Amino acid sequence: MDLQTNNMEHLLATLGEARQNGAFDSGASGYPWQARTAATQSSPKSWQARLWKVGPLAAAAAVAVLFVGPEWGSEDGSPIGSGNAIVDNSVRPETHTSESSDSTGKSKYDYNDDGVVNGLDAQALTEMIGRGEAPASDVAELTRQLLRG
Amino acid sequence: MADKTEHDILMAVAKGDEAAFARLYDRYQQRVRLVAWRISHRPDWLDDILNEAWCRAFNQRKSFDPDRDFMGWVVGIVRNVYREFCRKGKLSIVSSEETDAVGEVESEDQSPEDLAHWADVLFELNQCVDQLSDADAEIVRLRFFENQPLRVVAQQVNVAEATLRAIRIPELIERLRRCLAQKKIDISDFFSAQGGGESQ
Repeated sequence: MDLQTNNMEHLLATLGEARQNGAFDSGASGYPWQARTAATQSSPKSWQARLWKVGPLAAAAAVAVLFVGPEWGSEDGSPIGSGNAIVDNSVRPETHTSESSDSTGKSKYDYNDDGVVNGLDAQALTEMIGRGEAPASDVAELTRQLLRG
Repeated sequence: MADKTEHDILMAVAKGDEAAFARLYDRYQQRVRLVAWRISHRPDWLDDILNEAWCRAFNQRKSFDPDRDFMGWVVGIVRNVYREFCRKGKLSIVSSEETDAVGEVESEDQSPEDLAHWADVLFELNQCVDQLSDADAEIVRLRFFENQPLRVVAQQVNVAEATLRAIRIPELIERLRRCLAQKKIDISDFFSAQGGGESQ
């Protein structure tokens, strides 16, 4: 058998394999880059979707800091970062009532309106910040509030 | 290299012309698909690899050098995308032994231009096969695509086995060779140029 015949038979076998494996299918209709652009544009609130992904993570991180924060300290019990609001234990509990309640008596830190200020409010606050309904600085305030107990 | 018309299109692509890029996509997407199959041997990955590769090529079109071979450029992107898929596949244990056994070893020693040429040959051969008569196409399908023994093929197409071996198949192969020659494709040294042949 001559080389050309051998090569042709080899090529035909490969062609058969390619056909069988879908290497000659047309694939998706339309242009891939247009399909991707359309998919992106069809979700104009994609930044919100990202926020929904990042938000809970940030909230979880905030809650984790709340629980771990008090444990951060040197062996003699003093805070490592005394200037850091998160671990600042020197804040006096008696000052927060007037600052943190509105005229109706509802705590301004009760972001999820469940009547209790706890770690769950961090989630609600994160979402409010995402919607632009609360300043980011409220995270530090909420953290401080929760540390007071 | 490309004729003037093709070069004009390549120039337009390098300037970011989407319509020009779409024309090249229409022209080369089947060949690129063949390369993706050859590199990966993963039919289930083909569409994902190709979508990603074409999107990257489109996004990077302004960095394309119009004096370069467009197909070779895209094939290089396909290979990079496939490597990334392999890494991700291994991390998520999706690909298992199958990916370890093929792909990354095969075609690694071939340049994008070699792979592009291979795809070109297979693409044109496919067109030549499509031009065969129904009877000859059936012989090709049974004998070469399905690797049936000559005896079985002879029974199926109702031709004496000796005739099939000595006359029909040699004629058929010569017909395909001439068809490729008309497309300026010579396969006499194809496999030696392709680094020793196919994996079957």
